[in-house]
Amino acid sequence: MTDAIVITSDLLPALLAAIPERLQTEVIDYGADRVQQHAVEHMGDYPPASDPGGPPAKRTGDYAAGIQAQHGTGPLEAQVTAPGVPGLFLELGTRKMAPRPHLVPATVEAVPEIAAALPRVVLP
Amino acid sequence: MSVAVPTGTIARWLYSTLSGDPTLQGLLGGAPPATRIYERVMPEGAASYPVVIFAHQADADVRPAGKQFVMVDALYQIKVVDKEESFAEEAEPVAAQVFALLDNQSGAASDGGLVLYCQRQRSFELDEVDEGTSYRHLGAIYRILAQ
Repeated sequence: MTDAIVITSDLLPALLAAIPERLQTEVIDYGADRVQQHAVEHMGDYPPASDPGGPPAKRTGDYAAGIQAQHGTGPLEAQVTAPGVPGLFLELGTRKMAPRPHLVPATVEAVPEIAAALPRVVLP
Repeated sequence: MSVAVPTGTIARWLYSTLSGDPTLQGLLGGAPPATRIYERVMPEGAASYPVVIFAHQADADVRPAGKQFVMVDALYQIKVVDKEESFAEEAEPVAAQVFALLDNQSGAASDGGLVLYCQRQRSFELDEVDEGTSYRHLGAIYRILAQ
């Protein structure tokens, strides 16, 4: 069973390489926070049920609360984690349930924000 | 520039590329109109495996200089789903053929739009158990640029 979905960016590595490592860590942590926030903020409340292809709806809120940004998980690395099996099935769908993408879209949404934040980090 | 909706273009291109390949159709054991290639989810009542399912995950408009739309930069998942018992024999060749058909490919869709680039980014596997039967999903996230 896959335990991570890794999305790569053309933009960020080159931008990050241009700043000191201490600031790179700050930017990466900020990016993980933005991904976590976007993943949760687009979830609507249940009812109604979520639309196929859209983000999941919150029933109890437990799943949304379990989406966490974790800083410093490795050298120049942060992770956004979601409760395991439900997260994968929501993101990728099952045979009978269409995907409810929320983590991958949150990452795509955060990339330009991370790039835009670089000047603020470098020139506070 | 095309006026097609890029994500619609991508879906059409994916379906036509996959369903138009006789090797893949042979591996799937279906033929048009029963191609066993579905968007988002298997239709209710479909019970034959393996199947190929593709679905939109995310996209962003590419607008250099912040104004004129140039293309969409999208992420799609494309996966093969099969019963666990027949997965290695039936589904893995399907997954390999899907990769051969899509990775580093481009082309025109039936709506006049263009897929400029399609490349696998990261593969994944899922195990699903439903009413006592085990199923496996083997697929990948593909990055697709289209206009």
